[in-house]
Amino acid sequence: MMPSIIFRILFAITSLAPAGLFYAFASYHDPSAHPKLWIVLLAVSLIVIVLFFILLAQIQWTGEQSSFTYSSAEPTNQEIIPYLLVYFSPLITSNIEAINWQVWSLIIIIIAMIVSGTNSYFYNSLMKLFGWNFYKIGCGNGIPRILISKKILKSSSGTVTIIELSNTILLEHEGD
Amino acid sequence: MPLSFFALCKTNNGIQVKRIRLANPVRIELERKFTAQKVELIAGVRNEVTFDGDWHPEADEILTLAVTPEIQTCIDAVSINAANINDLTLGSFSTEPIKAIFSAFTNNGQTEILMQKFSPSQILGRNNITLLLNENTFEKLTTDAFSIDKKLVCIIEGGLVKFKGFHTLRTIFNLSSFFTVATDGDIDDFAAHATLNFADINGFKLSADVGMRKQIHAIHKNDTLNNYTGAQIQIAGQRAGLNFTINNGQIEIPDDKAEVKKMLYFLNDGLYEAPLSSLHYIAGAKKRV
Repeated sequence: MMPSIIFRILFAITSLAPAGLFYAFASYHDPSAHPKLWIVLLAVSLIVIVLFFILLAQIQWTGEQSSFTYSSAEPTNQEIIPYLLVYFSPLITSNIEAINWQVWSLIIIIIAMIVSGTNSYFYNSLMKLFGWNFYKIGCGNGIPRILISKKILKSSSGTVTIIELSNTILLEHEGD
Repeated sequence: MPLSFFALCKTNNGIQVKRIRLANPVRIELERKFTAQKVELIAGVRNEVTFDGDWHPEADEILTLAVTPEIQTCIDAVSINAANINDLTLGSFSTEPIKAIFSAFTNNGQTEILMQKFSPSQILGRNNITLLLNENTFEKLTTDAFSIDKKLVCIIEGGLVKFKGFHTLRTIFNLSSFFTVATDGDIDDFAAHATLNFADINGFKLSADVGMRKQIHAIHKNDTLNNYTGAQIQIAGQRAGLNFTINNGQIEIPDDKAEVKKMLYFLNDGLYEAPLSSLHYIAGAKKRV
């Protein structure tokens, strides 16, 4: 089965966990920030990272595995730029306390809903940090898909065991 | 590689294959079930016998027939990635009735299909109320649900359909070309042969059931009446316990339906005298050795 919409929203939110770490770092070094703000930000980020592993384990266990044969493959990292902008955004503000967290939270949730509710490609840098690679693959029907795999593809064609995160995003099942 | 599961639906536009999405633990259980059913189907089978419309397999045999264009459509549909196939929705059963549930596995361009038949009675809650226990209260099943059959109908692999029950297989695929019976026109041609004399051909056509028409078709296909004279047939018939009446060199077709059936079986090499007991038998199916 494909993951539910709630799962996909949460999964998309986990991709922003590194941003929390940057905000914690900025808060720690901002003398005007509340002295405990960085602890809160760090704790939230770590909780989100733990949530990521829980969701990943759940999808690896319950997600329907199927065979997928691709005939073309290339690495893809184009959408990292927007995420890097989000991650580095706290470094461009001199006053971390001036950030409206309610607005920021709403923006993050909306981004996550848009990314997960459509078939748009999302780049989860957290996955990249833990060794996952992103590839754009094709199977000859004209519809490209994103394959998230721990392996480094050595060939532009092959067959893998996948779990469908959405109609166009495939997660290679660990264990193959 | 994991097996994927599909439903074969028959619409006015032909067959359509839909994907059955499953939680992986359920998929694994279903995979084990189908694999066990495959083992059960081929258990003890030592011979594959080409189906010719006139054979019931022995315990150590399995029938085969070549993949038809309709069956090939099914194979082609699942030879692509399962992710490219539309999902099954039970809600459209009235317009897309499911005829079979099957698993498919493709490796190196070769596809193996394990297929079960599917009947409307397997859809739970469709015509009857189905109850589910929720904590300590039974509730009515309101979501789509169906059950799995207890055995496979066939295995499709290597260009062949392997099965034991033809009539069950016919409920899934159009196999009319493999099960041919004589039409009224065929019976007219049969009756027109110089060796035979029918007192009432119209009455004969009205009384001819599927079994008789099947025999007539086989007799015509084997060209029996052109290979033997009326006298030869009469002599052989006497050895088989039949007493033909010959009139001007023609065999009179009896009025009694039971006698006609015996005669038709005889002409199709289906009536014989047992070598030891000398009793006479009709063979429902035979195999040349």
